[in-house]
Amino acid sequence: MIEHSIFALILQQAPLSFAETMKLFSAFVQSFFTEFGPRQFFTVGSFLFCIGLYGVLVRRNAIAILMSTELMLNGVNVLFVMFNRWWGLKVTRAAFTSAEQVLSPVGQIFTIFVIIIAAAEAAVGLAIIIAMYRARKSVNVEDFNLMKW
Amino acid sequence: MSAETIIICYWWFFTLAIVLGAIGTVTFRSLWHAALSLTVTLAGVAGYFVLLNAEFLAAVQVIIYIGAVMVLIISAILVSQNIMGREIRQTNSLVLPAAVSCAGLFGILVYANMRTAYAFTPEGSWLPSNTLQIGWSLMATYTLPFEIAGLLLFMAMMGAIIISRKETPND
Repeated sequence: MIEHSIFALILQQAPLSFAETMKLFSAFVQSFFTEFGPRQFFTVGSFLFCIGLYGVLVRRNAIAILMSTELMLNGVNVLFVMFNRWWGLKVTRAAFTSAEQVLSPVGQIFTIFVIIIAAAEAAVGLAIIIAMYRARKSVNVEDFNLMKW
Repeated sequence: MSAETIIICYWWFFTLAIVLGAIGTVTFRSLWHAALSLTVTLAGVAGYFVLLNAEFLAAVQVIIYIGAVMVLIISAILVSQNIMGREIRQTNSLVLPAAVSCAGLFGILVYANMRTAYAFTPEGSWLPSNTLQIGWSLMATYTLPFEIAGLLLFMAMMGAIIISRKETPND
């Protein structure tokens, strides 16, 4: 399990000294002004995921928690489309064309399904929140502790 | 200005929208303001999809997220509380540990991203068009997931109606 994780990717590489790390970091920051590539999109996508996770952990309002999960899903969507843009599988014979080197839209199909699930989740989640508001006159998750323990 | 410079300018515009909107979504006390800044974030993500050559997904993002999901969320806010009133406290006692752990996760991701040398596959194109390839894939390769997604949406709609219905004594 752990050997396929991002931690293993970091641990496999040779350790850097502090000065080397800072040099790498300044090159990383500079690349935001000169490059248009996967690095930049990865940074923003992971930022969206992390700040959505923070919102899920911290907010008390159930609707705000639902909005934070939308943020996390959007971060993942950005990564899916980014990987499809630069690493999309090539299919030699695509539909309705004789051209080669055509991108396959697998990442975008995944994104469409994520959006479908998010829409269903928002509908059911908000229905549950409204039903709970009707019962308790509150949307704070701390008031919904009937099934806790 | 070269074409790449213009694209980077657009990228910064959408990135500022996404980052500021995301920060506003998790920090605004008024839920109404949080929902509006979430809309800004979703619009920025739609702009990202255009930059990433996914025009169909940009349209889907605007129609479904901004058009449908945000309307649902805003109407839920409308019926569940006084939208102009500021809540007394919107965060629980976990602010510091949650912020530290999320910043740590982001730091790990940025470090891994920084140290990775990305190797590109050769550039491909969307011939004849992006939308046509997606539609063909949905109708040929991914037909069963597509049908199951339709069934799931139908079940979610029925479930939402049944859960949020007002119960009458005659039931």
